[in-house]
Amino acid sequence: MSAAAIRLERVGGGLAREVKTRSGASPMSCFQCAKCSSGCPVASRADVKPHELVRLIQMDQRRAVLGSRCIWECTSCQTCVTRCPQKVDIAGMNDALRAMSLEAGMVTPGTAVPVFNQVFLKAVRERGRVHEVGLMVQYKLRTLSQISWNASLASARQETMASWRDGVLRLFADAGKVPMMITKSNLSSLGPRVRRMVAFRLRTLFADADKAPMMIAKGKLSLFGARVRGKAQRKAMFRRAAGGNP
Amino acid sequence: MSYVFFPGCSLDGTARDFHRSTLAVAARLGLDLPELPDWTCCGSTAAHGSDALLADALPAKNLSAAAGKTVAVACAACYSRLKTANHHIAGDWVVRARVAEVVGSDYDGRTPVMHLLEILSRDIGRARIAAAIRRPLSGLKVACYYGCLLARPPEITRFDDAENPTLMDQLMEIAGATPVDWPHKTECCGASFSITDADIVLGLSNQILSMAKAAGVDCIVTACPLCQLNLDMRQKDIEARFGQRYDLPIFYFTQLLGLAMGCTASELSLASLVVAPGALLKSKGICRAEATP
Repeated sequence: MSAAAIRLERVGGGLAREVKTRSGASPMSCFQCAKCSSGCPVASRADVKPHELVRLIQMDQRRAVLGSRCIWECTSCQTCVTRCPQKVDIAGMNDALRAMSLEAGMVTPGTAVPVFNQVFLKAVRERGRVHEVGLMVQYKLRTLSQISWNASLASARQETMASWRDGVLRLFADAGKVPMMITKSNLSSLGPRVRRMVAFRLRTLFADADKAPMMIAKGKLSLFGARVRGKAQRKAMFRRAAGGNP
Repeated sequence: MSYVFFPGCSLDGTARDFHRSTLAVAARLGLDLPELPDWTCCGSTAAHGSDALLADALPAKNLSAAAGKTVAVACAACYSRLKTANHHIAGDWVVRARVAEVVGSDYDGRTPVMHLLEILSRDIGRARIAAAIRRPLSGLKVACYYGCLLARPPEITRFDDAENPTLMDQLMEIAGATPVDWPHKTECCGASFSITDADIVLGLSNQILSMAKAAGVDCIVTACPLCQLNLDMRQKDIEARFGQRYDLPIFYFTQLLGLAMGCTASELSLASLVVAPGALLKSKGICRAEATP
């Protein structure tokens, strides 16, 4: 490491230092060439492009960074760090930012990534391996409970809750038609932000339900997953890991 | 060299065809791939996206169980996670100590990890593979699609050229197929957003399919369960969304290699492919009509 690089790492505000400690990435080394953003597969849809995100970290803009959508849309494809002339590990940085965003309660509404990660890791902890069918069912159920939760936020009125429960039951009875019906009739009384959230959850709930029969026919889905021995040790491992992060 | 095989969760589920065809090809080459006993999930994106220490500890637990053998991996995502953990653990004694605390035993980060493409190209070698070819894939134009995680970041995977890898292209040439030059070899398909935000996957995978089509290929060859799933299972959705018609079968490289070695369609689970390859293989005289799905 050159002397100049060492000096660069000493500057920067608290956010840059925290990112450096938690991920090893050096946001203060970035000189804004934007090579990361030109190769980033999700930059075109991002609220903040990768080089802008790094700049915001340099400027200590905690809220803009931890509340951004882009940290949850990073596909971890590693193109940015591969091409960066300063080797700023933006993909690794985003991993740390996601954890920090969760801890700070600043997760942008409309991302399902934290729920997916939780469900996924729970499967690893409990069974040792991820069983895709089980994972999808768990994920959908969690998404469903989020719908009810969003609805209860919107209105505490009993009949709304009851109609929600009925609606959700009907969702399962006739998966093809009912979501649209519910979106149209029940959600019109909700505010736009909640409606967006609920519409998002509904999309998630029904996404790919149509694929299941085909996947089973193709032998791509097994109904029962494997379980690996050593559940107690795994649980202890997860506990120690949660307590040991920098 | 002796190996232990780390299949990973996908190869027990949506990528069972990858698993089966891998073992079929290995058998033809006399390559012994015993499964790592009691392997557990590498943690995948969920672990590195939420818990840095766990993301190193889960691979470490598996790699230390390999008892000095080379760990052979088929899934590009597992490969990436195992190699990244090795890189972190071998390169930083603080990480090594923390991981040891979590796993309950010390691991030095030095168990070798190789992808099947590397094993075939570097350890088995051109001559042995060529000798196993029974039915060259003549006239089959293929786009070799490596995805993100085999070649990137090159400091960690040391797989091949990060921008223009050729290991799979070389194998396809040995198998008698014609790999084409195309610019999307290492572009991202959207990977695990397949579940959390399919829009990302539809857009990115559409670009890959359309570029392959423009390169004039008959099919795409993959080395990653997520790449294969996104390009294959979602191809109909992509066609509908973007008003395109691709009709491109998406093979695992082991399936095409297996076909060239004379394996049957069922040994290679060709029926598991969503975009059915039967018509293509028949038109090229590669697979007998009754054997094609």
